[in-house]
Amino acid sequence: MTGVRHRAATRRELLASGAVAGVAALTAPAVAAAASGGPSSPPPDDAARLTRVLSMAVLAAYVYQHVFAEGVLTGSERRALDGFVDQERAHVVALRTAVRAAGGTLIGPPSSLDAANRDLAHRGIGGRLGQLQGADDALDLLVSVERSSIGSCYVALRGLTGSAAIVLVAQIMANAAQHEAVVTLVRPTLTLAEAAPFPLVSGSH
Amino acid sequence: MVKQAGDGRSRRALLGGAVAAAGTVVLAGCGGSSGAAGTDSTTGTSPSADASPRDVELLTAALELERRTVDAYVACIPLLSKTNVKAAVVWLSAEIQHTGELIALIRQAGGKAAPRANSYELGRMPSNQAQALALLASLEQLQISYYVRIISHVQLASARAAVSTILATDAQHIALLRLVQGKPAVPSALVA
Repeated sequence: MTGVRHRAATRRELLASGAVAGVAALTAPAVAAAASGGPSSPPPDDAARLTRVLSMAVLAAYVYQHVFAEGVLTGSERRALDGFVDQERAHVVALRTAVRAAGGTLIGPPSSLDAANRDLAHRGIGGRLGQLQGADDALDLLVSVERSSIGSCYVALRGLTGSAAIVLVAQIMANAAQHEAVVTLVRPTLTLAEAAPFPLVSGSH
Repeated sequence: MVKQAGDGRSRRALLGGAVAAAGTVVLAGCGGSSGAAGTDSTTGTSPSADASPRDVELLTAALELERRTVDAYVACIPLLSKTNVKAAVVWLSAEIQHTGELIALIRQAGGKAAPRANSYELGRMPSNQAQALALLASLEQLQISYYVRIISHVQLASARAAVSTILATDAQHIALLRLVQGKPAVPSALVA
């Protein structure tokens, strides 16, 4: 794609005024309530599928938290993604509620940076926490994480049968796709047209 | 290509009414909120193996929404700035591909897609970029709302997964449309 590139200032202004300032993450109880509205006895296979989606969600939340803690993002980049951490955590809360309702195994966050990096490697995600060389590394890692999150949801949706679980995972998948687009746009050399170039978004799986 | 609203109602009211009506009619036959449970088909591509009249109904309504959005992009692109035109052309291409995907899914479910209408009702036509962006965002939102409403009612697992990829793409479009409108791009953890 050879789209006309945004002036950097314009893009930052857009992100600062739009993605950042008004981002209002759902509160955990509200999301949990949304996750608990399903049938009382979901099929057993749903538990395993939801657990796999949860395992990716806890990794994504952990990565966001540590990317921010490493301080490699510029102020405007960080502000552009500020609400995303809360939204990743909200996914974890909602999925835990759904997994619990389905009788599945609750997954906790990685126990250490090394454990998180092993999980990233296992999933084929490039970039390692604690070794990020700058903002580009960090943003590349976040894009890869979002794509894996999308992919985990997509794979689950091919087999989930419980109505509430299907809706929840689809909503999380769509939100991860939005994160991917915005994080992509934050990268310095990419244009608005390049932020969402794919007609059918299914992530990495 | 584009019809004007003739009765003075707002575009939002017209569009909202249309999607609500479509959703109500289609979902009326779905029989409750746990419709997908126990009715999955996870494999197969032949219409005879995966026939699902209910999916045909759900996907046919989705196809009409996508076709209307295609018309809206065509009508709105001339009103956009050069940078936004580049993006809108990419998104228009995606919407066109969504119609092709839905036609294939309808066929897989044992149905046949209706021919494309000559024109689709878009309400009052935008006359500047701000109105054009608002119209496109409203149509993307209608599609997203519809897909979230129907996805658990889609019986064929392969079709459900395909619908989720369309939903995710439309979610990206609306996030970026919000950005260029100066609004929060991703206001909620759960897209609805």
